[in-house]
Amino acid sequence: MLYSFKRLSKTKKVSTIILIAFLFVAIFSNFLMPYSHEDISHPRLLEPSRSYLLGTDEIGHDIFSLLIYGFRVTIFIAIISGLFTTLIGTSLAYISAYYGGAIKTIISETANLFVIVPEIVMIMFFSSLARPKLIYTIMAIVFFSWPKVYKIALFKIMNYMEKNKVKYTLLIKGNWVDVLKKLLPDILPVMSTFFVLQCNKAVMYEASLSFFGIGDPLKKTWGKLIRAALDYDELYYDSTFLWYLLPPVLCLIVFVIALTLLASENDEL
Amino acid sequence: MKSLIKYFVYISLIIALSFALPRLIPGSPLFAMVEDVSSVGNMTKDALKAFEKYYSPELPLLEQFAKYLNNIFKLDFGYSFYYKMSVLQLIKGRVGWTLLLSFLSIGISSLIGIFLGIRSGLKGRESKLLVSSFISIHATPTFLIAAIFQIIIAYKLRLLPATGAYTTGASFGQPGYILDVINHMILPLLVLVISQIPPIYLFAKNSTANVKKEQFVKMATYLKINKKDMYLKYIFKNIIPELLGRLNIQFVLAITGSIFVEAVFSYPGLGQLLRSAISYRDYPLLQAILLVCCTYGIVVNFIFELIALKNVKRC
Repeated sequence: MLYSFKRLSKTKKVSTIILIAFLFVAIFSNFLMPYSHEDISHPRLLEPSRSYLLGTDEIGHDIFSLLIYGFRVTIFIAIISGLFTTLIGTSLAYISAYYGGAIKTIISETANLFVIVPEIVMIMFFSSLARPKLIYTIMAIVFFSWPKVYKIALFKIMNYMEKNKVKYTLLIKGNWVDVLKKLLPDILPVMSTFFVLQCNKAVMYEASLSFFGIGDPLKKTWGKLIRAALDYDELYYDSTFLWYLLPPVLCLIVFVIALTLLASENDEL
Repeated sequence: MKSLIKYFVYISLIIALSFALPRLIPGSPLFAMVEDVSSVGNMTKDALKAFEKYYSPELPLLEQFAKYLNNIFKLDFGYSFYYKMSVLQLIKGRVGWTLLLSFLSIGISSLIGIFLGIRSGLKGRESKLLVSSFISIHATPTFLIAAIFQIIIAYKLRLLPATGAYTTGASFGQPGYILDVINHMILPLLVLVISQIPPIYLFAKNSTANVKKEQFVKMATYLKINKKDMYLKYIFKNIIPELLGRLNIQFVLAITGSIFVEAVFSYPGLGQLLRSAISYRDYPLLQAILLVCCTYGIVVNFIFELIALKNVKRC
């Protein structure tokens, strides 16, 4: 683990450290939040002070607590959707590669269809129809993002299937478990890249959905916080946006950029 | 011919999906709404009647589907609750702005992106700063870029109008109308162009670097063929097929990009429609926007496939 970290380039090291720090905040958010995220008993629209680090919003939330709570919800969404998208995409790719024939045609044509239509519009359609619950948002994201993972995974797996060790396993009538065992060392690194990329996408999708006002209004993600800030009419009159809008925007941007840089295959970084 | 059938299947699948989803999704309010009128206070009796007439939820599913198909063939997408007019008319009025924005932005950003990309691909290594900042812009959601630009340029510096496509009250033919439209378009267009350059740039750079490694380019260098010819005949021609593939994706992304940008700048395109459709739970409108966007994606893909076929034949 430590060895592979050392081999990373400087940019990737920095991204990894940032991501670990974010994960830490998310896990220990309960201890870091000075107030509960549901507590609206504070005086409204305070400027930042020692007891309210980022001031309070127009309802009476402590913005700093909301921001920290946002770490937890947002990162939870990212990890769960990233995990499921990667798993579903690669397992379907493996099934298509292993069985081939009609199964492959059906799955890959379905994937093709979802790749050519704008997926965010589909996700929006799905999740604005469903009840505003976190689980449905995640389901919508997973349901419409697996095809991209599938297409790349299928391409890679088909390449690996041509390798001698896999052909040999097939020759001695190894079943799908045996073939998978031979393939896993090759696909695992690819899968981890997918996972990071999909986490990134999930965060972007969630933020976009929140921007359009879709999703569970009680689970305050960064996206919801940004939306709330943008909805506040007097945001630009003074410098309210500095502590209301800017912190969630920065958190979101830093998080997605760290994920992208970590997953990027660009060798110049 | 084979691909025509494929695209026909795609379109029918999309129509079937747009029919099935609202009925399958857990807790879909589409039909709960009919029973519980009080939950939609802003919906008038007329709108409800139009809704029932369009969807006729009392019929069996198969007949509903037949009716839905029939309606779509007649281009009847129903009646928008919120705007109180036919959805078709609404979309017709708006889609032009969206297409204008996205096509213009694609044109500008691919010119800049391809040019810069080929240049850095030829040079070999490019400064880390440029590449990582492009990757960062690529990673940032478009609506955030739009919101940041809106705050800084429109609200804080007051350089350009923050919302709309023209000053309220202005109409076509008035002196200064076109200038007014251009003035309102700069900011959304700028955001779209900025968000689209990075993927095109990175792509052009990588494919140029790949072509550059080929033997015939090396040969051309030895033969001292002049730079300009090499640029055009040897490199650009060879990355065209790959670039077309990328542009295909870009055309679809531009529509979603402009939807977000429009929603931020209240630009009167599909994006703004989508936003109000979602916040006022205007389902017929939502469904029609979905259909329009998906059909657009499929048509774009079809056109690019035709272009690719033609290219293959010529070679």
